[in-house]
Amino acid sequence: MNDIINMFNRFYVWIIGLLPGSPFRAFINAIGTIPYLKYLNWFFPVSECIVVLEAFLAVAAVYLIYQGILRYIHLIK
Amino acid sequence: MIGLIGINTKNGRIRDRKINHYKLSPKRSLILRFISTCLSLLLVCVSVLGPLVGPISVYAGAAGVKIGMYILMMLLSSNQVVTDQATLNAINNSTVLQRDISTLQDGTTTISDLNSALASDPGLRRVTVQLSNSEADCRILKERMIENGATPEQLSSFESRAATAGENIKESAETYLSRGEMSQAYGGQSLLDMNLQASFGMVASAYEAAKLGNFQQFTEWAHSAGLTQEEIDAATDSGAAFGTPEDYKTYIDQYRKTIVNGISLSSSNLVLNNISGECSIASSINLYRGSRIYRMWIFPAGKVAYTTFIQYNGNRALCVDNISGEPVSGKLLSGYDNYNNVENQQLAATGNRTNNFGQNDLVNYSGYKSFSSQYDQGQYINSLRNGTGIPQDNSKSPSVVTDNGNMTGSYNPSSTGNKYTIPSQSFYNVGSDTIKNFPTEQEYQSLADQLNDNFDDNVSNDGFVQNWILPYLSPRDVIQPVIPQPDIPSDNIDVPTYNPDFDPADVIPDQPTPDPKPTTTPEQETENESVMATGGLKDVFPFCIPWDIALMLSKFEMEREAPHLLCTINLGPAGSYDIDLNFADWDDIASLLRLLELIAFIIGLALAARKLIGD
Repeated sequence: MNDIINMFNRFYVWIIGLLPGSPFRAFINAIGTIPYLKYLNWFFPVSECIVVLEAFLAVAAVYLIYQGILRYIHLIK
Repeated sequence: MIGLIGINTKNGRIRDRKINHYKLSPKRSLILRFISTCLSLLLVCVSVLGPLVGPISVYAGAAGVKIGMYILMMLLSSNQVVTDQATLNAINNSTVLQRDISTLQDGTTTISDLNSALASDPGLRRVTVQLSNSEADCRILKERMIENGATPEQLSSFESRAATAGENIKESAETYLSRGEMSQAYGGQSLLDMNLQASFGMVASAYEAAKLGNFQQFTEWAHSAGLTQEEIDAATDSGAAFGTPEDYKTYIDQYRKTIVNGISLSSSNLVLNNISGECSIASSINLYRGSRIYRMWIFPAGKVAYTTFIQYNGNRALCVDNISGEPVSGKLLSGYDNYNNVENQQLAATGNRTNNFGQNDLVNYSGYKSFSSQYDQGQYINSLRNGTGIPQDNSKSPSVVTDNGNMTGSYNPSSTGNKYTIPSQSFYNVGSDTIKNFPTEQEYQSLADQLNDNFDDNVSNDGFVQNWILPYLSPRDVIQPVIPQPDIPSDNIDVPTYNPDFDPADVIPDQPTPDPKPTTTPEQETENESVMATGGLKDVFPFCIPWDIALMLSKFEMEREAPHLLCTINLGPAGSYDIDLNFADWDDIASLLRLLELIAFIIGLALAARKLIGD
């Protein structure tokens, strides 16, 4: 059983290895070096907005999951 | 407008007529909603930003008038020489710069000069902090020795050696300072005495940083490196010498290249442990990751007894127990004494402490040497396993000679050099079965390769040992320890008694069950591969997009700071004007502004939710 799981895992890793890397990562990492970001944070509550956004996306995801389930069992259209 | 919404008032009656004719298409409806949402957000932002427009306009107006005057004066007197007054002021006001320019480079600075300059020079204060810390360490050690029942002869011997060591530190600091080698003078010498590798993180072009006196750069770098403010403050207070972020990065890259794949094997006389009836010396593997060293202590049974996580902040080491994830002492190490504390706490955790303070005094620690700096790693490992031993290379002998009890006879080179070989039969049962259970050279190499291939420098420390270290170190034969004869007076020592049922595996939570097989189990392999696959999914396109977006947003998050604009405008004959626009004066307004912006953001999300979840 473990051999089968290992085989699937290796195949999965091989498939993943075929995919290209993130094309944005280098540019995104460079964002942190932009000067004056701390000033932007003084004007705009970036960290708080990220927290709120994360919470919003989390609850929205939960809602959509529920909605999908209800649609699947034909309780709603 | 009335027609647009499909309402007619024909014959004085309001009725719905041809409403379908005027009904907007879904596409137009969506566009209209989008525009209305944007307008709403714009109105909110304008209403919020409105209060700030006034003050900003005043400053901008004043600046504009002055710039206009400047341009006018430049036109009237185009040959006027403009001096950079801000730079001149910075040089004149910087004692660090003045010191470097006029004092250090001429090679005449002495300790007396340093003491006299301390009051006005924070940079030089670091040297004295280092010296005073060493003296304090000695004092604490002496108190501990008394608590542990040291004899008058032992105390006398310790005081004598401590005084000598202190003088050596001062002389070394003075020597380095006279050469202008600030990085060494800033505590490097004493750390070299303690641990050749402890100077890591401190050597990084500290001289350049001292010349600049720019501690702010270190702070910024430290923040970006993930250090907490508490750690940064502690490092600053301890007198650490700092380089620029670029200095550190350059140095770390260079340092990594000097270590065989970021791993070295060290053997230390810090830990005496009784396993299988032999007095053994714990070996450790040091994994160098950035400014951090993950040190795993391994006993001859081949078992990872415990792991310490050491972070070098400046010239001081911060020890964090990787088992609990908490700082061992809660603060930066302060020289030898804290090292002692670390060892004691760790050993106390294992219930296997057999050494005492009489042995672990200052000079004992001074004798700590790293084999990695003196011997070929593979050669040393093989010599341990094969029982052959390798000759001492006196040309690379440590400068400090250990001179304490049990260690002296066969372990340390004399001042004239000797021909002893390591591993010493006195401390290693060379060639025994337990020694043969050390990881092989190839296994160390494999571990290094795996780490270098897979380790993400930005990875959290959480689970480092569990996910990266332990899977590569196979549990080996664990020989049940025999009850040693503790020579510590137990009345005054706050350490647990020896536990005969001690199993080193107990000190590492969730460690795989010891298995006599020299390889990991299939379950472990599966788990490891799954972990690697999951981690890889975040890095490959297109699955990486959500994580990339999250990473991008997080990059904008930074510690907020009020803008402070300072510029000098030289108007020639009309004089120069300093414009100092410090937004910190408006912190209260800014906090209110941020609150209102947050509310607007939440309103925007609420509006967006209608579209997201449907009407």
